[in-house]
Amino acid sequence: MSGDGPTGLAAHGLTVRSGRRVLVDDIDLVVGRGEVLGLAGTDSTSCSALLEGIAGLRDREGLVTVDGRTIPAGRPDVASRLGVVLGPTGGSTITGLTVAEHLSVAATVGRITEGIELGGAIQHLCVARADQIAGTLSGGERRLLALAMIARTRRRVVLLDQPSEGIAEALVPELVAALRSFAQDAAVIVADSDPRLLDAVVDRVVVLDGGHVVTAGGHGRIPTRSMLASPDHLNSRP
Amino acid sequence: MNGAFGVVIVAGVLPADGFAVLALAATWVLVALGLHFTFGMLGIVNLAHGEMLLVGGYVALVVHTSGRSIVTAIVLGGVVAALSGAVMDVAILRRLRSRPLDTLLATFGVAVVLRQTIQLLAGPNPRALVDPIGRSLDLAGMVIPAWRGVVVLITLLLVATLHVLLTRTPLGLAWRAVAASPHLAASFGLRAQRTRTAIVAVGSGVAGLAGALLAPLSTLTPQFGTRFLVPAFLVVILGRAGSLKGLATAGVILGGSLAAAQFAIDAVAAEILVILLAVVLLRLRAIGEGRPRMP
Repeated sequence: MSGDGPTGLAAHGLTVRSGRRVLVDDIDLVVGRGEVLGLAGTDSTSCSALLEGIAGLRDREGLVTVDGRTIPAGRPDVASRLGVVLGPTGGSTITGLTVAEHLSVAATVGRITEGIELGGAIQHLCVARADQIAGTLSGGERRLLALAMIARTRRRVVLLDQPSEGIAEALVPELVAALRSFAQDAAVIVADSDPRLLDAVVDRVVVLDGGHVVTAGGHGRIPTRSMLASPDHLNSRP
Repeated sequence: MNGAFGVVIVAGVLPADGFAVLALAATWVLVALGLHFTFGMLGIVNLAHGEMLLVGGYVALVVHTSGRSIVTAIVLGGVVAALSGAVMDVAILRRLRSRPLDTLLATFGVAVVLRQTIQLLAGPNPRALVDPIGRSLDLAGMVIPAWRGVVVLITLLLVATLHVLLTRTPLGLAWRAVAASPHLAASFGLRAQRTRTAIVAVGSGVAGLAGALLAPLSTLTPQFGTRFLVPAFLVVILGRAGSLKGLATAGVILGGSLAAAQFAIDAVAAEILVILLAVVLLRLRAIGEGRPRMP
């Protein structure tokens, strides 16, 4: 089994299709516990497909393991039991439920009642707006709610899809802090190309183009926005 | 606002016909309750809803005829309908998720199959499930079967039970989460497919229970369920999909005004009037607010 030891997430030959289109093409990934992997790319659909493939929410090929245990394709419940949590994106909060109910959904499944310490804005959202219907929250507030939900799960692998979207400038440090605390006991993948986030928390970056990994590297090789906008600059497809 | 309107209508005919109005209003709520689950929560346009009432009614008839108590008969009516719903979901609807039109056609097919099966087994002739109480109440000159009163009470009990189940228990929260966003619920470990099957089963079971409860008040024919389909859909759509309170209000308004209009004018005019009322009320509501979610 591929992997860098017993802890963390490993994906081998991961392929995700949408109809005939190949969104993720035979990708190998290893993210150890405590590590934050940045996932960038011109095609956010591919990034989402990769995360959903890992979480068992989409049909996929290839082997995905958490701490050495396999997640079968199409079994999000097994993924969840093994501690994989895919943070809800802004549009996809359970619109009819309140903030408090969202947190209960996360906690019921995660089977823990005590979360980690989160930033003031997130705490405020969870307490002062507990009875507000989540569908009426702003895009940024929904991202914060997503972080609070993740904090309540028994997480081993945290997958976040565009967490910085809609987040106000002033709240970026809180997002960064939340990601750091998730990384304390989980392997984290963040699909985001916001340099504020990538610079602050990410250990490594993988860039996807056309479903392939076009570049992977550490801090020194984090691609700039212009490179992401025109991936020809990158050493293109293999 | 709607609630106040309903109260005015009901109060307008009290006390003489008040109970009859209440009884019909409860009937409409009872008939719509099961559909509320499948259509209101999952967006499944279940054209087999009427046939679930039919199944409930006939199962109760058969069980009671075989010498069991009426309570056993009614409960088994609900159970068999719930199983039918679960089978329908696992065998057919599960393959048609996110294809609302195909789902609609499939449930129509299930409705035809269920109706014809019952016609084959029980014959086309009207059958009667005996009135479990057999006595009548004399209310200010109106003679009403006492069973109607029991049906009203059971309806209230069912609405209250489902309300508590949905809003106060972890199971209800999981159901609502899956109904609102199967994808997100699944990413937090809820078994979306299984939960949706459970919701369809509960919806069908409640419909079966409704059929068994209402059977003694009329005669059972293979067309027994069909006539409840339109009232059920009117109540669910008007009652804002997903809200039990709205459902109860809509049932009271529509069922109540039908009964009131039946006394005031005549039966046919009353039905036309109720359809018109439903159309007007639907237009008055903010567009989109009451529109059911399609998955």
